[in-house]
Amino acid sequence: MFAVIACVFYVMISQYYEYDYALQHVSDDLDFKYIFSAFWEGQEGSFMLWIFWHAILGFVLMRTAKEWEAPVLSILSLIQFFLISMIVGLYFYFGDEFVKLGSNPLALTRDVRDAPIFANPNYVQFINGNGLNPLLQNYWMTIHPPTLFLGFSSVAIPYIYAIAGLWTGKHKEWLKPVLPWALFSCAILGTGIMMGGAWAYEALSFGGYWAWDPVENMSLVPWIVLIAGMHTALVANSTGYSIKSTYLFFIMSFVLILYSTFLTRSGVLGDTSVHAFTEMGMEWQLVIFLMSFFLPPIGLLIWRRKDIPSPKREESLYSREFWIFIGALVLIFSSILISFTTSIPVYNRIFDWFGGVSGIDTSSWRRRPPIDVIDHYNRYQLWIGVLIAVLSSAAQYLRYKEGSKMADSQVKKFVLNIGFAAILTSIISFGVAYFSNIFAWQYKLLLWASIFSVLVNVNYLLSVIKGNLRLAGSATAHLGIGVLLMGVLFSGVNKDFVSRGFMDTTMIEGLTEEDADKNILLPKGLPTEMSGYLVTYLGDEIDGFTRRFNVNYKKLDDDKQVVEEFTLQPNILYNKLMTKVAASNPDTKHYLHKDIFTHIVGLPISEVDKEAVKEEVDTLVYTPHILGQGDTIFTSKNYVIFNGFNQRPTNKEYEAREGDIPVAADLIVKSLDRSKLWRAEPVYLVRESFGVSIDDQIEELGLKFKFTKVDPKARKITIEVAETKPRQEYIVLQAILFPWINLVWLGTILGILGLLMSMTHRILSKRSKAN
Amino acid sequence: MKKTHIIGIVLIAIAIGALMSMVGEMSPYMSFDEAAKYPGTKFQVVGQLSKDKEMIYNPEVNPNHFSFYMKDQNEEERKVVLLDAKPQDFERSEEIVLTGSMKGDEFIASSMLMKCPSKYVEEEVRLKEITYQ
Repeated sequence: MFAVIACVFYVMISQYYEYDYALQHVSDDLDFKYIFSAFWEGQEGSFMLWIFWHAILGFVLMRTAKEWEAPVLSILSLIQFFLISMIVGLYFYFGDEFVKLGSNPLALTRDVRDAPIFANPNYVQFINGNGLNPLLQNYWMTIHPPTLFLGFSSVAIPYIYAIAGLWTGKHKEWLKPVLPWALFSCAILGTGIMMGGAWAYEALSFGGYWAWDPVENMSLVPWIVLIAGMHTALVANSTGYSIKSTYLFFIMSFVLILYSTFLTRSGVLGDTSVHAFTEMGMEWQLVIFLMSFFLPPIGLLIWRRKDIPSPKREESLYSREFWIFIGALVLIFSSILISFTTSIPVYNRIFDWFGGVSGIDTSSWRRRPPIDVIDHYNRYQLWIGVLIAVLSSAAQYLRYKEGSKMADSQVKKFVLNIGFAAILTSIISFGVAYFSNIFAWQYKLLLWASIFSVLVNVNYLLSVIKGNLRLAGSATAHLGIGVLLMGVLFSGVNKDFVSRGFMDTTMIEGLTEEDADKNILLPKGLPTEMSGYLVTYLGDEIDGFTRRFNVNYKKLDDDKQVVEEFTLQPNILYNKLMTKVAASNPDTKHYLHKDIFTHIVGLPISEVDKEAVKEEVDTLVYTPHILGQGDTIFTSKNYVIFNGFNQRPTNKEYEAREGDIPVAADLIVKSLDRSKLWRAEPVYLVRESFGVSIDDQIEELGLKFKFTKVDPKARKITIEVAETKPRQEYIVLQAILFPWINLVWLGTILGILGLLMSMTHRILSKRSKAN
Repeated sequence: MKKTHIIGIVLIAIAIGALMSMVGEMSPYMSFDEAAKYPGTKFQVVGQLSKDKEMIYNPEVNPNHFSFYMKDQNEEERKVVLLDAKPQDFERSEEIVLTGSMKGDEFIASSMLMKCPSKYVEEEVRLKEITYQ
């Protein structure tokens, strides 16, 4: 396997375009730093990345799994087997059906494609690679996919431990070794997901870090289920409750990873997701993969359900295990809601298939995703956020294995801490809501819950643990949740389009201002006021395929005095022929408490589409004028005087050759109010007894001149004039203010740090016990 | 009855309620005709760009106003006003999903999604171009 990866890398670095994968993903001009991104841009490369991590994790398991080594590694090998089948690239006929098993990353271009060029034995010299999608040419794309795939592959470890537990019947013993793995997996997959968010925020112009895109959702859902499983595993390990749920959650989290793979790679998502892979005809192979790892373990779980021990007595209402279990259920509930909507394209596919098989017209069964996807998910997940924030903080003040009645000292501690926090939270959130314009009661509730979570967790960290870092993992992670929710709330609810100024006259009822007033036009050099900023488009610079626009911001106070000044450089990326815009990349001004996110949404057509401009030039209509010296012609905004001849042309387009007889027409162009003056000098020459015309133009005015004829007898010349639109220089800019978005990143980091702290604690305590 | 059972039943009830209300939001696409019956109400209309008709985006006048013509699923053509900038590669779109409402004869869209031809098709075309150079 490592050899295959090395081969593919070598092919890509060396730009051997006879290999199709290199043709598709690299090009002559691709920077070396993006070779990694290009490697995992395609399906095959990302499968290889996944396999690579499984191999690495397999080595670690060999060293650490001890008595679990045999069952655990055999299941891991089985997963590896299926993954490798995705890149074998075997094509054969099974009966009459053509079967494509996997897709070979080292397939030759000439075998994959059919084009007359391959008749030429030296075809390789003539082709250049397709290159990396410009949106992926970003440093996040170098680190996000490997982290995410390490996350994906590590989810398999709790899964195989769960199966090993069911298989061997050691229903309690597998819990201890699985916990560090589950924590590791939660941390890495969480990091991977949020790196994707950071990439989207930095490189994409949709303006945000999370769009509830199916691809995002389907990596989030397994993570949520895994978090639930990790918590029930904690409970099961400490108390013996919830073993069945732990089995189920760990099995489902890996099955959901496979489901997510199926969704993103089968082409089912097609029209609902922006960044799904394109179809490769491996749908059935993916379905078989999914089912093979879903049905047998579930069957095993049902078959073994009677053997799985669980305490006779029910969990007490006052115990930690009870509330952790409720929290896990809330998480599962959340994952069901998210997957339910995300799977709509799957239902449609099934309806179509059913219609095809049964002959019933099922087209009316088809459903479309909700109109406002983001609002749809936010509305439901808000409740999950509230419940999780409260449960994850308050439950820490409860103890495991509490009796049916809490001890008095425990009651006192709980009521004192939680009650005090609740009162303090109410006061704070009232003030914050007032000052930050959070009006809707749902948002106020989430605000309350997130502040509550922060207070309780900080208090817990300070007082209960007294700085014992090894035990602080859970409180740190839960604090992260609170901070994250706060950041989501502020940056989402108070997100504001700064680029206002143009009010639309077509405003209609039911439309908010935001719908109609997002973008602003900035002519070059003209300072324009928008939402408290004086913004000027200064100019642009081209670097390779990138064109950067310098946009200067001056923050004004109430007296219109400049209090702050900065320049942002949103840019666009042209395609390889420099004829069309391939991507628009944002630039963001970061503050501690807010971000100003800007990107280009529009440019003059002459900058966006060079082909269209060429077409325009080809179809220009020239009007001929016969002029004597001193004669005048009028154009729409100027007039042109034929001033006389010039025997020594200075027109830059003209290259003198021996034997030329050139003559230039000296044209003076004046604006109608005579305030401005330009000169043009089209040339007519006789070269080897042919008449040749060399054009001249005044770009600023959009005037083009051809000198097509000289009539020496009448001393008259023919000048043809065409008018294009004068060259315009402006940008259409969108600027969005995200308040407190740094809390999102801080919360994420705290959460991951907390998970890693808990993992280290578990590993260390296991070691010290072993010694 | 155990506490967990009660909680389970309550959760299932909430889940069913939430899922039912979610199904209600997953409306099928409307046609221009249907949307015209309820002017001012937001709908989603799917269709194809009329490539022969004019597209107007004049940021000098209004950077948040882009108009074009679209045929819906029933081949009915209407003028559409998108209250945003003209998106990149708009001419190449295969399918457009508009969100907005009818106002008079025009469909006023506050947002738009478009589906473009896949990268692979583009590549085939490119390879052929190289060949015939």
